[in-house]
Amino acid sequence: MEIEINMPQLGESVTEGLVNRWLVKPGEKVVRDQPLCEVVTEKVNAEIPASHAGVVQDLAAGEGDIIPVGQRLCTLFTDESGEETGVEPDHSPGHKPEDSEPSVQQDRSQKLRYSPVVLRLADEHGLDLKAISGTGTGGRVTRKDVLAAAEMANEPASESSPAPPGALPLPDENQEQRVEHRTVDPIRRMIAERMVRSATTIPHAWTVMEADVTDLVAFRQKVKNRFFNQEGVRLTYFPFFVQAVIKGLQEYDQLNASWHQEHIHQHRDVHVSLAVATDKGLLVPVIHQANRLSLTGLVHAMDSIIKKARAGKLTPDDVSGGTFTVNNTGAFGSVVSMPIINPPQSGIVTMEAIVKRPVVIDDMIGIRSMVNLCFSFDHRIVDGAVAGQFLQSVCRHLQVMARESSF
Amino acid sequence: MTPEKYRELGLTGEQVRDMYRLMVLARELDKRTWLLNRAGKIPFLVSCQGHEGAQVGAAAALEVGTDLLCPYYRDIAMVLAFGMTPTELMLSNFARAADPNSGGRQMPGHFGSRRLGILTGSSAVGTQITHAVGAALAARMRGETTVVMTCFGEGSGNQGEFHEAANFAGVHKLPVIFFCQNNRYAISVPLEKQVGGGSIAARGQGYGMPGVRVDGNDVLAVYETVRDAVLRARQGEGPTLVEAMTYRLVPHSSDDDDSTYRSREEVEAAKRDDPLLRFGRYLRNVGVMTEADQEALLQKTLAIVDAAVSEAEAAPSPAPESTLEHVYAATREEH
Amino acid sequence: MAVKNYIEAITDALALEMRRDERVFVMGEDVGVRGGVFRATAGLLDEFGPQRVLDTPLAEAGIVGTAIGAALNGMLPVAEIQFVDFILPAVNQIISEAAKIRYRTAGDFHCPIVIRAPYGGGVHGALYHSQCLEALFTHVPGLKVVTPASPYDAKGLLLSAIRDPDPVLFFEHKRCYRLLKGDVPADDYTVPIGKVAVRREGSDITVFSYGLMLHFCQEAAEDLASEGISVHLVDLRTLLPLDRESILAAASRTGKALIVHEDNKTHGIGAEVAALISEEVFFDLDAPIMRLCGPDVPAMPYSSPMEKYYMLDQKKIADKMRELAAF
Repeated sequence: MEIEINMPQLGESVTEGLVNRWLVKPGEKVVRDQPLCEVVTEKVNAEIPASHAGVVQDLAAGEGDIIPVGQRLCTLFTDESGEETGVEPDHSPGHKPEDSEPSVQQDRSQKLRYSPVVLRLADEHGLDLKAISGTGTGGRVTRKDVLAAAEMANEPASESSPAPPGALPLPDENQEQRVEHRTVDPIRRMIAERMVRSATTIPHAWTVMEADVTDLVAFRQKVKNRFFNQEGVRLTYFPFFVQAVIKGLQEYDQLNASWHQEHIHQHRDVHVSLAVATDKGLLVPVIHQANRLSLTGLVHAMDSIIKKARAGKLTPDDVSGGTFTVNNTGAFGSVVSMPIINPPQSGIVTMEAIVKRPVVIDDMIGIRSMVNLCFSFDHRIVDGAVAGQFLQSVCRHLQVMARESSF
Repeated sequence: MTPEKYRELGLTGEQVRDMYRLMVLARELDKRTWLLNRAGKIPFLVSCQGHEGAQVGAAAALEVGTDLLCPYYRDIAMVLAFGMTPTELMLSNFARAADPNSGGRQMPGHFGSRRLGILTGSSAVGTQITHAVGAALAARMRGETTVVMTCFGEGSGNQGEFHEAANFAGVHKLPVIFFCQNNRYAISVPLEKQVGGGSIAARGQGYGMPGVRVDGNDVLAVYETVRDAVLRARQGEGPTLVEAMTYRLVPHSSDDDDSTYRSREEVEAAKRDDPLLRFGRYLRNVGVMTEADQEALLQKTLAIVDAAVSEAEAAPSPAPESTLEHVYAATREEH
Repeated sequence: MAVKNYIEAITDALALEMRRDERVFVMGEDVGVRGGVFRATAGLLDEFGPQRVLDTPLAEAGIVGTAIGAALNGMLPVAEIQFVDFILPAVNQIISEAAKIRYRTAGDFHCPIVIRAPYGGGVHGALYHSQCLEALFTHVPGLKVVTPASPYDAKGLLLSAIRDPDPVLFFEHKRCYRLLKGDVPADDYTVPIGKVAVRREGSDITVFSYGLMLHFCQEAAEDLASEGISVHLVDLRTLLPLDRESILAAASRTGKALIVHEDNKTHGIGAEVAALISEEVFFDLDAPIMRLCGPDVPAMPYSSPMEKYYMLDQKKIADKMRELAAF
């Protein structure tokens, strides 16, 4: 019988994955759990295993294709019959029994059936529809496929498409030659799409507060060597900051929430998403139930997940379930930033660089270690007053943390 | 009719002369409409000939300007009594834009004018009877003394809406006069095949109101009956059902041929009881009018009819694209 | 803001408008002492008295005809038909009279009545307490047909309906009466007739619905969101006149349109919405317009399995949405 291998949901909110590399060829015999292909999503890279032993029939996606979750990647032919495996026949519409009978070629039966909007858009953008791989039923080229192709074609001002009538000639050909056309890699494209979606659908509000961390700097200076000797991990400022955020979220739990159109989901535990820069791009692994960890526990948890992220070994579980994001922008010297929310979360806080500044305290000027905390929040979920109180709370915790921490 | 009858009823000579004038006017307008139809100038008409006595007698008992009318298609004399002008009726016959009833949208005989207190009606017979009940309900809710008269034929007395309306008015004792003009034929179907028991008036009892049958060709008898009904209504004693027995002297409409269902002898006999002739004779007998007066009135009336036809024929038709107007309120200001 | 259920929102609107405008009164079978069989007019008799909360004889043509007469004579009646299934004796009054009064008098008269009627199934109401008859009336110019899907809209649309100078059929899904609760402001506000509401923004498929089915669509859309299918959900709210521009814009947004209604399919609202879209924005379409509707059988049977088979639900709707999204 035929078994469809579909794009799995690799982490919540992931809606599609990019087929990076096929590890098998049509006609190849595979054993159960043998990796079939590598899939890259905005959150994880994963190898898709064979659910059954059998022979690979066809590959429904090419390398570089983005396939929606649940859509077919390839088909395996197994010796087993459906009854013996106990696999439930799929009776959902669009997967009628007669649909599963036809052979490989018929699966692409809708490849050349174009809808009115697809023809219109292809015409408007000067695209060759045969060159676009379809993600619709039977390989049909959908409106979204054409729009995606048009967007890609638009980026490097294409030589192939004729200039629209009345278009101005390029001012300087030399200048044009000085532009390097770099292909957008899958992770980059996913980051781009995700950022656009967040920035265009969430009403971002933004606020900044500064915290006096002079005591914290002194405290860390005092304990960092002992900590490294005891724990084998370097003690940075970031875990202090993360813990301060967790405490703030526990006080203002309206912010430990996510937006789901008709509902706001209020989370009991704080699952902290950490924005991690890797050489492949931004990844956002999650520390689950971070509210239950001590500061030492948090240091270890952060250290191990960041290492895992940089090694490209995150699992779907590692990147799902986050309720709030923190970002250590100070690590690259930033003092102010406007972070973009990681949907459907309510907000994201950055810790900027700690800098020494003259500060007026009780009408005296002193040299203090100061840090800016920048906070973007979803204004649909909370209003500015709550957001401000939360950020003040984070600052307060950060200021007194040295006194309350002990190792 | 006794010679003193009109005075006994409290009517003046001037009032009865005016009633006669309305009957003549209705008759002459109606006759002219037939000519216009047969000349191909207007596509359709429904006639009121024979009903003028019942209509004018009933209307004379109402207070025009206060009381409301939910008429039916044969009520030409009735709406004239309520203040519609001959020209306005002709504008309706010619379907001109200035037709106050419908701006040329409805067939002739579908009367309606907010200004005159005539509530608009459709061709679906009997529907207007419930409207009369609702209008009376509204008047009573506001504490007004308005009485609502609604007219219908004996055929419509079989419609569910007649029964629903009569019952509603009976339950709530509303100031409604149910005025049935029984001309013995619903198009071709005679009374005995139309009305179980043969009497519409008898149905009043079942709905908790007096049912009175009256000679519809006797103008003053109709006046008297309706006047009593109006008095009851104004005093809060509820509705009355009046059945005025009359006869349609011509076919039902311009598209009907009554010779297929009733004998010429029967029609000729009815013409001898024509309420117009009867009332004319009565007025001469009691000395309210002379033959010369009546001849002069006729000539004057014919001139009025001529003028109405000329004016209406010359009036512009509605703009074709105005077909799309008045589906919904253009603005919200009416409320 | 008070949380009220759908039927309380209806009562709220009636009481508010009766206090505000002396011309407004309610009439119908059992609306007085009983406060309506669904309790929509509960408490009104005590506050406004028997003149303005009128128990009528059991005769629907009479109820609607009387309401029309009262409206022609300056009142603003709100007539209740106990179940929409029993509106049929009054159809002559609604179609021959109410719908045509403004038109046939070239604007001399108008007919500001509201006819409220509970409709819809899923309540073991069998053939004659379950029907959706909105399509019978949406073919009639001159009428307005309104089908609110939330307590907020029920109040706001009913206030708009009473204040509307034209006849409005106000169909209330009886299953919504106590199923739906929501914030209903105590004060005076209106929701415009003839305007859709976008209940959910989405990019993959556009779904049009109204009444109870809108809620099933909402639930189905939430299911699909977790699968990565983004549904643009439009509550039609007013079925006549249709909000053409908003419907077309919503259809063009995704190029994939699905209309969901409980009423049976043939010649239903879905047919009109589909025709409108294909006439006006054909070149924005990326898939055949789909309809998911009640079956073309005369009415809903009493037997539970049969009723369940007849009624759409979250799963049936989600399956259809997936089919369209995959196309």
